[in-house]
Amino acid sequence: MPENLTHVPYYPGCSLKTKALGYERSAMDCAKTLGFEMHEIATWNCCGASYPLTKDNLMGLAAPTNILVEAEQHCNERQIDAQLITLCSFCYNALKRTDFAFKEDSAKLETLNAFLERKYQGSVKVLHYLEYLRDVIGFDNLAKLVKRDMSNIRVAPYYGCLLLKPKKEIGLDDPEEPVILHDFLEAIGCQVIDFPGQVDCCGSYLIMRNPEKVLELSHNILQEANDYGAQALVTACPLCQSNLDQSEGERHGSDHFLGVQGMPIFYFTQLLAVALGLDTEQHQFEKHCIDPKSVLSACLDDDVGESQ
Amino acid sequence: MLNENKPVNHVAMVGDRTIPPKDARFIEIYIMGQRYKVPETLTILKAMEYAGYQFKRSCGCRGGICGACGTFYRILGDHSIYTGLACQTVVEPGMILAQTPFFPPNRADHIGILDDKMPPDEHIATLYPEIFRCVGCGTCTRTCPMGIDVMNYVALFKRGDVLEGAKVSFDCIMCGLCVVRCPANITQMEVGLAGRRMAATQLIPRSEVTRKRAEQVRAGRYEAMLAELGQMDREKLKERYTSREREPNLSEPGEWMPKDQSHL
Amino acid sequence: MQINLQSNQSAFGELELATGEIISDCYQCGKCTAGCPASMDPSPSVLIHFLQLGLFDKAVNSESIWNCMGCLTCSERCPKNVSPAAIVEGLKRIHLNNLQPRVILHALGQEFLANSTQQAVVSGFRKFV
Repeated sequence: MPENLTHVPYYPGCSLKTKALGYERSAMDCAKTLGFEMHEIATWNCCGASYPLTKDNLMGLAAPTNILVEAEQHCNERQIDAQLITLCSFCYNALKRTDFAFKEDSAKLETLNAFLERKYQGSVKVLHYLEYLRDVIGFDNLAKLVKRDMSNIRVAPYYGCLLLKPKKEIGLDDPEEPVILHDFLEAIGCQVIDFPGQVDCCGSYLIMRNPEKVLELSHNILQEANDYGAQALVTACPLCQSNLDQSEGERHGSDHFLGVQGMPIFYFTQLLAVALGLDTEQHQFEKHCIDPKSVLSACLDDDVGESQ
Repeated sequence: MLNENKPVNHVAMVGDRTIPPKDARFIEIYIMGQRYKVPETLTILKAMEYAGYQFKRSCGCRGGICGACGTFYRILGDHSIYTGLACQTVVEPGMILAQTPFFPPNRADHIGILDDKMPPDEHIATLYPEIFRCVGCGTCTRTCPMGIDVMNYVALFKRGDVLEGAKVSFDCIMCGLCVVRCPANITQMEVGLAGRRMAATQLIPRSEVTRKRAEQVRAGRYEAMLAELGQMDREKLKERYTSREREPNLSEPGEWMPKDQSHL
Repeated sequence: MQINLQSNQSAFGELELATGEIISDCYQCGKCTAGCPASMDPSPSVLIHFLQLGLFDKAVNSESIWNCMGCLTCSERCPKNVSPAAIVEGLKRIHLNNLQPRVILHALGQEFLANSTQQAVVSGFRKFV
C-alpha cells in the first residue's frame, strides 16, 4: 500500500450511510489501495437530492451551498486544493449543477451567501469517484493494480441519468454514448457488455408514487442486458441499484422474466474491490436482493485475497 | 402602527418585580406594537411586567429552561429577525417584541417508541417523514435561542444517525421558535425528542455497574443493613454518621479502601 | 410563483420567467417525446404545444405532468435548448405552491418509508409534495 495517501475530502450523502453503506465501504477500501484516503467532511446535510429545474427556485441551492461551504472550510483548514469527491449520482448532480449556476451567475452566489449568512467563495471542484479514477489515477494504472482474474464475468455498465445529464453542466461523459464505465470495466478485466438500455431511466423517484412504472422500466433494462449476454450490471447510483435490484427481486422466478440465476446489480466500487483482491466481507453483498455470490464465484475461487 | 409621535405609555409600577434600579435609564421598546419606556436593565419578561402585562399561566420557569417564553423580535431599522428567551434576554432600545407561547406542532404518536421493534433510524422516518422535505436552508439553526445546530440534527436523523442526532439536539428546551420559521413545515423539536427517547432506551450503552448494583439491591443485599440502621436510636445514628469513613477527595479509583469492609 | 390563471397570456409569460425557458422556441420536432421513458399523455411536445396555443389550463391540469421522472433526456436532445422537464416542473410547482400536493405525507406506508433509499424519498418529496 502506498505510504503517503492523498487526502481527498468526501461528501457521502444520506443514502450512502444507510441503504448504500456497502458502496461507501468498498469505495473507501479501494481508495487506500489506489493511493488516496477519503475524509468525510465534519458537518454536512442532505444535498436535497433534486436540483431544481425551474430557474427561479433558489431554495434548492441552499443545501448544496451549505455543503460546499463546509468543504471549502475543510480544505482551507488543511491548506489543500479545494475539491470534494462524491459517490452518489444525485449528490454529484446537485453539487455540480449548483457550482455551475454560481459560475454562470455570481448574483446567485451572493444571494445564497446573504441568505445562509455564510461566505462561499466558489472554489470547490466537485468530482465523482469515477472521474478521479479516470483523470487522476488513470485506467491504465488501475489495470496494473488488478489482482484477480475477472475475465470470466460478463458485466453490463448501467449509467442511469443524473451521472451524465445535463452535459453542459456535468460534463463527465457523453449522455448518449458514454464510455467511462465501459473503460472502467475493461481496466479491471471484465468482459464488457455494451447494451442500448445503459442510459435508460430506471424510474427514479417514481418508486414513491408509481412503483409499477419503475418495475416496467427496470424490467426493460434488465431484460435487454440479459438478451445481450450480461451476467451482472454495475451502477454508480444507490437509487438505480435499489430500483433495479428490488424490481428483479420482485419478478425473479416468474416465467416472463429472467432465467433462474438472476443478474446482481453491483456498485462499481464493490466490483473494483473484488478486482483489487481486497476483503469484501464488510461490503454488504448480503443486502442485495439478487445474491452476487453466484456470479462472483467465477473470479473468487483463486488464492488471492480472502475466501468468501 | 409604530409611530414615533404617539404618546408613550407611562404605567404605574405593579408588583415588587417592577421596581427599577436606582438611577436606571429608560429606553423605548415596542410590545404588541405599542411603544413603552422601560428601565434598560430589565429582561424582556420583566420589562413587559413593568409595562403592565401579567403572566398568569404557563410562563414560566424564569430560568431559561422551560421554553415557554420564546420571543421573536426586531430592532427598529434592522431587517433581521432575532430570537431569545424573554426571561434571559435584556431589553435593547428599539426592540419590537412578539411572544410565541405556542405554535402548532406536529407530534406523532410516540407509543411504542421505547421498544426496539423497529430500528431507530427507520422508526424516525416513519414517524416524521417530513424531515425529508428539509431544504437545508439553515433557518432553524439561525433561529434557535439555545445555539443548537438544528439543521445538523435533522440532517443526522435523515441519514439514520439517531444517536448523534440525539446528542446534537440535547440542549433543546422545546421553545418551538424553529418550528415557526421552518419553510418545509417540519417540527424539529418533536423529532429531536423522539430521537433522544430512542437513543436513551436503545442506543446508549447501559451502565454495567448500575445494573449490577440494582440486581444486588433487588436480591436483598442491603435489607439487613437498612433494618439495623432503622432500629438505632437517634444518638447512635448520629454517632455512626459522624464517625463514618469517607473516601478522600480526588483519590485514584481503586486505591482507597475503608478499614471496616464488612458492609461492602 | 404567483401565476394569474385568469389570463392565459400572463400565465404563459410568468411560466417562462419562472422556468427560464423560452417556450415559443419549440418547433415541435418531437425528439423529446420520442426519447421520453414516462407514459406521458399528453406527451412533452404536445404539452408545450398546448402552452404555445394558449391552452394553459389543459397543460397545468393534465395528469401526465406527474409522470415525469426527471431523467432530462428531453432537455439533452432538444435542438432548440428548450427543457420540457423544466416546463413540466414549472407546471407542477403551480399546484404544489398552492398547497395541492400529489402525495399525502402521512398516508405513505410505514414499510415504504422504512425501506426506501433517502434519495427516493427526498427527491420524491421535492416533486410531489
